Amino acid sequence: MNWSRPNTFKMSLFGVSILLGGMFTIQFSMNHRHQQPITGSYIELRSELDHELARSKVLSDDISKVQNQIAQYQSASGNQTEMEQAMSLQLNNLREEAGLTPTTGPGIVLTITDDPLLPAPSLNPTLTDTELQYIVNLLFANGAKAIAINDQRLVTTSSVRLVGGLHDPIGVMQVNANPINPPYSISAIGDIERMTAVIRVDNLAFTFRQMQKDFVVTSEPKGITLPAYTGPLPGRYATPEESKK
Amino acid sequence: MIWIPLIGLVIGIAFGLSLNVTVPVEFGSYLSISILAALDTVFGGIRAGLERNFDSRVFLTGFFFNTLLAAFLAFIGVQLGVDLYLAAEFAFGVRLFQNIAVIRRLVLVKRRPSS
Repeated sequence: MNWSRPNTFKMSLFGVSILLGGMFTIQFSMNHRHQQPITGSYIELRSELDHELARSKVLSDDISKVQNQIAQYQSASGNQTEMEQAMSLQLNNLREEAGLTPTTGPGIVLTITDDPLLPAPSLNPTLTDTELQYIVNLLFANGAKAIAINDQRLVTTSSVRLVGGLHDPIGVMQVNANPINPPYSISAIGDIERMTAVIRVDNLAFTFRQMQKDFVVTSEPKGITLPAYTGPLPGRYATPEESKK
Repeated sequence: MIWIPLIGLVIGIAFGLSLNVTVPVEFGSYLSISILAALDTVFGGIRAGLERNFDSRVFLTGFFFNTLLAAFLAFIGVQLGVDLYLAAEFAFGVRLFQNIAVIRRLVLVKRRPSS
């Protein structure tokens, strides 16, 4: 029994050392394989992935659009009338996208009116262009396809400005350089759910109530019609060379 | 005597290389803390052997229990969002240094009369 103690000591040490060696090897090989840090911000990765997915969807939509166009042109190649038809169809699509045609579709209508309970209208704080711009940008960023303020259709070159002068310090709201007066009605065609959700999340009704305004959102799932943009467009002085001749 | 753990270590490394076992990346931290616990136990065993109060039962149970406990502690820490593995790391690290210091002294004391 005298020899058994050092013997078990050696044996158990030997066995444990083998296990330790195996663990070491596994750990080393694993660290070697994964050079990049194991821990990372999963949230960052997820948001990046979402962003890339959205981008790829937009790009693939673009590709399919262009492929459709190519197919139309190819099928019409050699045929003058069909070619013209395809081109006019594309022109119409572009005019629609640019806001040069009236548009109908499901959407929402936001109405901002002065609080009628206030004793004097002069007590009403004036709504500035910043607020209207904020709403418009918010809607465009959240599913709106087309927007009109008091029947003034917004296009890419539109402006929403509060224009005042020396004799009119409060100023007049101008959309597309056309003056508009309260109550303001912002009609937006697009994803009703997303637009109403973002208005609710942003607490716009509360913000406007603090400014003594009534802010009412009406959903129009049956459809609203927005007028076409009739104002000047950039490039109106440039004409094709053929028409000069 | 010092050759026994070294030979075991070499055999273990050879085994590990030949078997090519892989552990999922998310368990890597558990394995590393387990290795630290195992190292602590091995040095504790060597120290006990030199002090002549080695008990194989204590040694073997200590080895498995400590490695599993360290990994479990790290796991609990991840679940709780607290860096609990730091506690294990600190405890085993301190003990490792203490054990190595004692082993060094014991070896020096042992060799002194002979030299």
